[in-house]
Amino acid sequence: MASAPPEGSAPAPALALRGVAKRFATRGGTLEVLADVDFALQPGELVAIVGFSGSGKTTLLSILAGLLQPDAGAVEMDGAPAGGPGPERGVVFQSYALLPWLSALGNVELALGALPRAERRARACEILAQVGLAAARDKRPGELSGGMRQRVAVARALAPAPRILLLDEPLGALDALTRAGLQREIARVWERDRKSVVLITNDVDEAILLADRIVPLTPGPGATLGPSFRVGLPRPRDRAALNHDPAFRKLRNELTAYLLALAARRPGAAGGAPRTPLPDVQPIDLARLPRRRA
Amino acid sequence: MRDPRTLLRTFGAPALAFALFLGLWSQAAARIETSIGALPGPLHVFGAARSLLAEHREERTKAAEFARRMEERRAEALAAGEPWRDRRYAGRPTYPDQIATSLKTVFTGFAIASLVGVPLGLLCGTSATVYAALNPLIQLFRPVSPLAWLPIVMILVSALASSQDPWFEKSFLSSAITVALCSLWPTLVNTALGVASVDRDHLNVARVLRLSWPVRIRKIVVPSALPWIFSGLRLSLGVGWMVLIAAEMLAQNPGLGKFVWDMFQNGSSDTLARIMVAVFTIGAIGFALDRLMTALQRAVSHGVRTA
Repeated sequence: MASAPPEGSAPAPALALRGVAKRFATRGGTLEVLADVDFALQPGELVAIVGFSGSGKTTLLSILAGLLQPDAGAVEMDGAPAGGPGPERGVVFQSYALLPWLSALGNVELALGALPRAERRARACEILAQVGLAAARDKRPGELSGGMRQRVAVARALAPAPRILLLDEPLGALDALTRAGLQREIARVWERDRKSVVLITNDVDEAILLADRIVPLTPGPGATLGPSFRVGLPRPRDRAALNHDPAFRKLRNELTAYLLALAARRPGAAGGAPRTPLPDVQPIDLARLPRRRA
Repeated sequence: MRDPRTLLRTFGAPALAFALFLGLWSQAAARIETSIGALPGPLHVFGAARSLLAEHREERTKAAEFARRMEERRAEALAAGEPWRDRRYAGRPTYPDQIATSLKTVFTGFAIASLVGVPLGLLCGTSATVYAALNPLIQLFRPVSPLAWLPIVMILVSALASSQDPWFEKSFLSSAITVALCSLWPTLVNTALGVASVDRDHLNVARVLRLSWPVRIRKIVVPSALPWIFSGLRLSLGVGWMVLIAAEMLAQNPGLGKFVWDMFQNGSSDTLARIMVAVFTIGAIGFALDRLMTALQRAVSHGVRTA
């Protein structure tokens, strides 16, 4: 999808933001997190949004999902106002947000509420098998590793067959090896289903490996989207091989240089250690991890 | 716990404190004269407890004997073709009977409080409007003493339970309802708090999946509020048990409260010792109830944290 769509008239984007702004009331007044954001996700496209922590990535994703309503501008799905959240826009939350009292199967079944019980169970088993968790379906999230939990979260998001998938730093909490494995997994799932996907990440390599197009989010407050970087690399992409690919290295250098220039501009960056703005993201709750229960 | 010093602290220190308490008590008891004799010491109280149990056994023997005699007479009457009417044994309730009555009353009141408090708390927690509406009423009624509720409850119960053969004794119902009125609040407030502090991400999941209201309550809200609800129930049972004694005293429900009151009115040489037996009983049962609820609370919290 790196090139223009084949038809004469461009189809409406699967999901689009038009002049979106979002403000939050804080003790010191209003904080403008996002300002004047324009974005279009073409059908079947995988776009990565790359940004620093605290730049408003999760706010942006919440607006894309319909969980937050913008203070200005509009959210459109297929050219029509998008409205509230729904199963056609699947979300994988940064913290996975699995329900700890339900089994992996129970968590996925929750997303299939409309089906009759037997069918729901069969379908949930099928989806869990697709993400390689057939054996772990009766385990609760607390008994699963971080990577397995992430797969359950993906399975739950995929279960209602959404047309659009929104991933909020889905691999952020994982170790490097698990991360690489799941990146392959995401690429495989996307190449099979060709859903429209927004991937939010802070990892440039991950973005290049997976995305058709990369859009940087400038640091907040008043964050907005920068120019798109098209990723013309052929698929399937192999991480090891990419490291020697001149096109990959060029793109990576460009992106990194752009992000570093942005970082230099953020408030407080001049004095060496940058002042960290308060992040608007929820940290992963380590207390829920099973290893802590020694 | 293997460490002898820890062991000493866990078991030695409480034992020492208890021994010290008994010593001080018996010293003080020997010196204090009241209008109905000396303040009883630990041994005297222990003796009173034994005599209460002995009375219980005696009463049971009498009751059994009575039942046996009735059975014989009934057989005779039936053999002679005379009409027969069963008679109940008109014995006094013994101390264990009174404990049983108190437990029955407190659990009835506690059940009423839970059945009202948990659903109302769920409503308050899920709807900011309901919470805003009910909060002033909750704050107004929460601090009211059981002694203020009881007369109102007694009069209402008398007015409403007017049938000849009511399901429950009026005194029992009044005490239970007073317990419910006073122990309702911790459950209500804690449930509302637990529901209001459900993980935002989990609620977002519910929104994305468009879960229906009942499913959201059953699968997300209640499981995550369960530890809060149980800690509220535990507080409620504690309050209820405290309130019960006062309620029974005034309502004359034949439980521990009435026992204390009757002893007080009696004014015999055994009065103080027997009341002290009641004090220890009330304390021990309260402690046991709290332990029971703590165990339940831990069981459900455990499920949430690891699960």
